[in-house]
Amino acid sequence: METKAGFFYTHLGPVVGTSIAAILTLAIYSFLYKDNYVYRLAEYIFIGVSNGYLLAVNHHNSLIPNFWDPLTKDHKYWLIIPGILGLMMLGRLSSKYAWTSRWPIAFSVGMGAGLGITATIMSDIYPQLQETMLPIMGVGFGQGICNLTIVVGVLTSLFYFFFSTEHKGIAKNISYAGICFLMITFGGSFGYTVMARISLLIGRMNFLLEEWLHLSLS
Amino acid sequence: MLEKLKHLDRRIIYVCLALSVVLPMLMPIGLPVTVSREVKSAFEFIDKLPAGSRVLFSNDYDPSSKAELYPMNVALLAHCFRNKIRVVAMALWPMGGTEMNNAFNELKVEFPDIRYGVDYINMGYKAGQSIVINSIGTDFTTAFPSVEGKKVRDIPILQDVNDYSSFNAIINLSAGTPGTKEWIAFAGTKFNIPTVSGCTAVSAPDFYPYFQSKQLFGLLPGLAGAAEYEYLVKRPGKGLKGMDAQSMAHLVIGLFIILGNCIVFYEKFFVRAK
Repeated sequence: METKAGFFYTHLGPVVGTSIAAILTLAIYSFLYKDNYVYRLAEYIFIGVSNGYLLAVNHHNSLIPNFWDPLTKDHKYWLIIPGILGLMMLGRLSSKYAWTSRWPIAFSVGMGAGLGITATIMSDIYPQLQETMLPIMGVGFGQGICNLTIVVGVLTSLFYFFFSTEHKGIAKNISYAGICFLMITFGGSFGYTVMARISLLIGRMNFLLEEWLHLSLS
Repeated sequence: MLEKLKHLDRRIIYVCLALSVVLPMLMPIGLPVTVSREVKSAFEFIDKLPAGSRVLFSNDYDPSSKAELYPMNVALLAHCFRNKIRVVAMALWPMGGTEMNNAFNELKVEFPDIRYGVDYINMGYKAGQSIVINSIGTDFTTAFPSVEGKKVRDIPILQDVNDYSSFNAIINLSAGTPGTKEWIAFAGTKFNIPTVSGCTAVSAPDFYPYFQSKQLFGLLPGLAGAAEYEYLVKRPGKGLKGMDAQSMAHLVIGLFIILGNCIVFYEKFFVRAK
């Protein structure tokens, strides 16, 4: 025989959960009409729940398996050092001990720079430079035009950010060509941003119509 | 009339936009889907992987990007399972592991024979961002000593995993940092392992240069990328379902932009001239 708790989790739970999510979604969208208390309540709930959840996830998935368990079960006492560095980060909470946070920040920045600089040179600068040095002749007319566009686009865009000479005469024309390429790039980015935001709206509408109202969407 | 249009209440635009999304969802138009080069490249790359291959699938997103990335999560997994490719899943974002579990559960009915720990595994969220990516390349067991309390060497799918050379490819779903940029920098380029990315539309322009330079073997940009992939794997899902709405919403936004510009030009050349 099904218990009351069992009935709640299997039948009522999903309905209640979905309804709460749907009401909170509508509360957030109510901001489009005008700022209101329902919107603010939903916003505060979102921030509170997100932070609470993140804290719990980091405690269970990071602090316990990466620090506490190896320290207490495997006796890896060297972990005390990163543990102390982590505690020093909390020094920011007090104006008197805020200076202690500089050490772990310095450690993180140093490590990040050490790892990141070589990786960026290897993955971003060198291959991207290589891909800009493209043949214009002997690759077919269409490909040649494409390659020429890339080369001219990169050079003129870089020239736009070259401030050691006044952009007058021919320099002004090159700089203007650079602006044109940059504007096309920003236009492309804007188009993708619109697409992303509409996708989020579609996702929410899909949830409201299909999962909450159970309307069949073909 | 011109004044009214000039000071059009933004809420009217919101209503038009909402209708342009909801109506095509309720009454689909069935607009055609054309597959882009970067999505086709991702599909062909995964399709050509031999049965028994092993891919590292990192889910670096959370529910705020679910609308865009979850459909491609399911489509990519379905493609892997259909081709008997083993999937080792992980996440560098706290909720990425949960989303991966949702995708696995959704596919369980379609692929009842796949076995957890043998054909696929979800190692869940791992804190450490790019350090984790880097340490997998040095020694896999350092990055993941155990999964769900079990030693890595006791799990069949992970028994012989040492580093990136144990994987045929990396598939990354990216909503920000850490994401595709980090996987390319710290794994793909550094350890020379083929990488395929699915990303949010906002970040897609940042990743196109990597596809151009062949550092990415394929790229699925946003919901459109997911829809195209669903079309290629012949498994319609939430991606394809949303494409009519996406197209209509773009049309409405485009019309409003044209209308706004027409008013500006009309004022500039006709009203001021008078």
